[in-house]
Amino acid sequence: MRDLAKAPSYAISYEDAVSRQMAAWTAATKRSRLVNTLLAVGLLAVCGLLPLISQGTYNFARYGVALAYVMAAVGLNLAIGFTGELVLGHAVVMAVGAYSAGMLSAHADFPFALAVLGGVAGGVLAGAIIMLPGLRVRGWYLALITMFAVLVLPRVVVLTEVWTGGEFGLTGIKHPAVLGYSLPDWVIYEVTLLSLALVSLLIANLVRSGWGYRLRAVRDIGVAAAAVGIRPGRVRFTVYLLASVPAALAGALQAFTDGFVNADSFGMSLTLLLLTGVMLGGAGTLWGPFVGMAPLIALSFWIGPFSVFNAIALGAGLLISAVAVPDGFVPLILRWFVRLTHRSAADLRPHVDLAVTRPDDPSIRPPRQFGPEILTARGITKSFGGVHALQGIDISVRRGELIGLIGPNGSGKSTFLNVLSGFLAPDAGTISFRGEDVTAWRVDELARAGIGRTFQVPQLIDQLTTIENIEIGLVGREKGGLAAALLRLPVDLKRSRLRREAALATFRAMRFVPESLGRPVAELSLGFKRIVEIGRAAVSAPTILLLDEPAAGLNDSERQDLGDRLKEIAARGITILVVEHNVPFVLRVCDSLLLLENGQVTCRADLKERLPANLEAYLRHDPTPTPVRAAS
Amino acid sequence: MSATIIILGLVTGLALASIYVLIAVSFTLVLAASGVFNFAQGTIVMIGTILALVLGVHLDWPILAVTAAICLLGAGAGVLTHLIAVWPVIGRTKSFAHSTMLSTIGLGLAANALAALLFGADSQPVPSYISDSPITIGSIPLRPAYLLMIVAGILLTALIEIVVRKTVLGSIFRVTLEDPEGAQLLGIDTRIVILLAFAVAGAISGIAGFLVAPIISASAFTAQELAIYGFAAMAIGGFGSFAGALIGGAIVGVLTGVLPAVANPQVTLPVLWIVVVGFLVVKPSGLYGTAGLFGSANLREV
Repeated sequence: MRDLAKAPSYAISYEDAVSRQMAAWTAATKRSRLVNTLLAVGLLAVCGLLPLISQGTYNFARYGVALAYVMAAVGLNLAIGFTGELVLGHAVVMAVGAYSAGMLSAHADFPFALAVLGGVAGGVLAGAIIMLPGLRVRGWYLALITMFAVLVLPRVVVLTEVWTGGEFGLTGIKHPAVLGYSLPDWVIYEVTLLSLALVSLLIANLVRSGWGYRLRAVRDIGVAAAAVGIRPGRVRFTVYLLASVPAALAGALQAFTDGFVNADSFGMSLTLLLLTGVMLGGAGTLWGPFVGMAPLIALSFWIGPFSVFNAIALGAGLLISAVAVPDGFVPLILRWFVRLTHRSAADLRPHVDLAVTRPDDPSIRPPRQFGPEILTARGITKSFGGVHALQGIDISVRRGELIGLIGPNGSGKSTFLNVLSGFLAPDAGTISFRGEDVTAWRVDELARAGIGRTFQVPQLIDQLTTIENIEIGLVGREKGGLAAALLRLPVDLKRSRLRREAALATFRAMRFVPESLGRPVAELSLGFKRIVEIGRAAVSAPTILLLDEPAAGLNDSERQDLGDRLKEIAARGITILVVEHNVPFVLRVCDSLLLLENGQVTCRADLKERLPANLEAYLRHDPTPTPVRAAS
Repeated sequence: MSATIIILGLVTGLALASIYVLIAVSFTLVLAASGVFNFAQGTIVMIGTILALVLGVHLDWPILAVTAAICLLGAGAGVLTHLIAVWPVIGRTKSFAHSTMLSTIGLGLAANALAALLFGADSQPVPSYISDSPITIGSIPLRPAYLLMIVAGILLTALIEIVVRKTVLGSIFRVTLEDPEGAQLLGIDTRIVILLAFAVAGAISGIAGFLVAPIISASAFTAQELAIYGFAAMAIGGFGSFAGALIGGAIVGVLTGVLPAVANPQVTLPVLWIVVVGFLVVKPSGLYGTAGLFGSANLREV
């Protein structure tokens, strides 16, 4: 990252360099949004004008159904693509939407709009029930249990044939009318088109809000999402409901487009169509469902929806896309596009002084007075089967301290960190944090209360940029705001702006390399990712930061960098507990050391004073050749 | 009278149960060795039913030849699944489990449709492979085929259980699952182990299809349902445990055997769905579920 010497350089202040990168990145984002908006408006206009050149009830029915399928795929993409939940029950959600709306119209004489609303409500309820096991099981378990529902649907329809018409289908759906005037077919088509546009717009709003970070965090960083204060279960369930809305709406509109509902239309072939469309186009991209569904729908228009070749093509399409283009076509097209328009990167690179501070800067290592005890653990024990990992740990941490937790492999350091951050429940003992007993608190509760942590393997969202990854540290503290995010209300825009400003402040304070600001973190080195993760934990100004071997696998200069940044964070009054093997590193960085051996704290020492004999012995026997206290 | 109907339903259920157990065991074997949940497994069962008709009835082969041929073709189908849907994915994606799920779903559905194209969309009854004259036990007439299915199911499951628990092959499976790289360092060719698992699972699934053919007929459209029943057995019993597979299979089998006898047959699948959803929500690990497969510590996306 610091290989700037070879490039022609001119001096520029760090602040200016960051502002310049921020402006460039913001401009690039705006440009791509403008392109997307223009594309969307153009597509909407073309589809909206279709009735001028193509007429006839049959044609409108086909177009309407195609739009409905795309709409359902947009919902599925929210669940599979953005949140990573492999749910396969959207065909059922669509069916329940269609049946509910159809029955309300046929049996209860509900007007069009109300029947559609009822259909959406019914479909969303069905979606919630179908996907409920997703709160307890993951992966293929969830895929199968939701696919199960697709096979159950036709049976339920037959069992309730009094209302649903059973195998013969539901008939008697009233043609939509306003004030007694029957609406022509093209109006229903336009309504469906506008619904699709609206649904897509809302989802586009959602994924660029703080909720977008939440969804991707649940998808990509698993347990680490809880460590930044996100409640994964709640996010998942919200997504199950939200992702059901487009499918249910699509079903309800399809019922009126066709004037008829039959369970056969919502079976495995529709499930497969939606799944293949989303995966082929690019799961987790806004255009994915459109790009993926278009050829599949065209194919089914051409050879007929019930042709067996349709199923073969869909199955083969899914297989080939999973094997050959696992990310889908939209990312592939984007990569081509970037390669075509790629400008030479040999422009002037400003020379920026990145050094955090001089090592002897008194502002960084002041003779600090530590505050009161903020975290106290008493008698913590934890066993795994016969292994007694922790055997009664007592520690207390004062505010503002930078403590190194050292010890041989298997001494229980990581286990202890996991207990403190709530990932493991201790067998016995209590933990109190800022005067409250937090022993039984969940990970996300602890995170919101001010216990942040990082992981041995950095848990970042690869496709997002450095600054966006830092922002994720803030979304856990934000409450709800779902409606504001969907509608992009001013309150949500303000929230986004504040979040970005806070992230930028942390970016600057931690002296991140300016060029990394708008780069996806996937392109960054391991050392850099560690620092980004620390930035994500530090941005919400936690009371205490727990770092799990942040220096492992780093080279000397990266380690130096990391140490400087930790000191900078500590200087801001954030307490740090760092698990680390590297002795020179902890000696240089920490205020005091805790030695953990066989699940017990055997020594605690202030590094400004003379070290106790056993700690000295441990440090000397450490494989790393260490002149003790060389660095201070 | 109604007691007889229930007992008949029970026997039918136990016969079906042995099939579901075999399917569940095939899923588990493949998953244990390779980390792939093979959605195309149901397709191999379906191929077994069709081969039972084509080879055993249309071509009139002797029963042992049919059994051997189905074993071989099932194993071949398993290996083919690996080569088409799993092997090309290795090392290409961020989430192997996710990608293989999609590729095997795609392969399975394309193969089902292809089978419908070749074999025809109608389901065709398959006459029983052994005498159809009922054996009467205590005034209850039992179809010999059902008894054979129960016996064959129990024997095959026990055989696999013994192989996996007690033999070197079982240890190799475990090592391959726990630590594929470590297994390679031990000199185990994990590719062969994985292929073997696919082949054995394919053979078991083929046999399951052969055994069940007289009950469910030969049809290109049974694959998903059979796979779902196998999954239900796994989910209820607990994934990765043979005892769980047996108990879960028995529960699913009895439900699917007795319910159609005493109520509207259409009720069966919805009731089963509710039971499985209930289990997954209340006790996701099932009745006998272990954290990992075959007692391993490795939890695979469950």
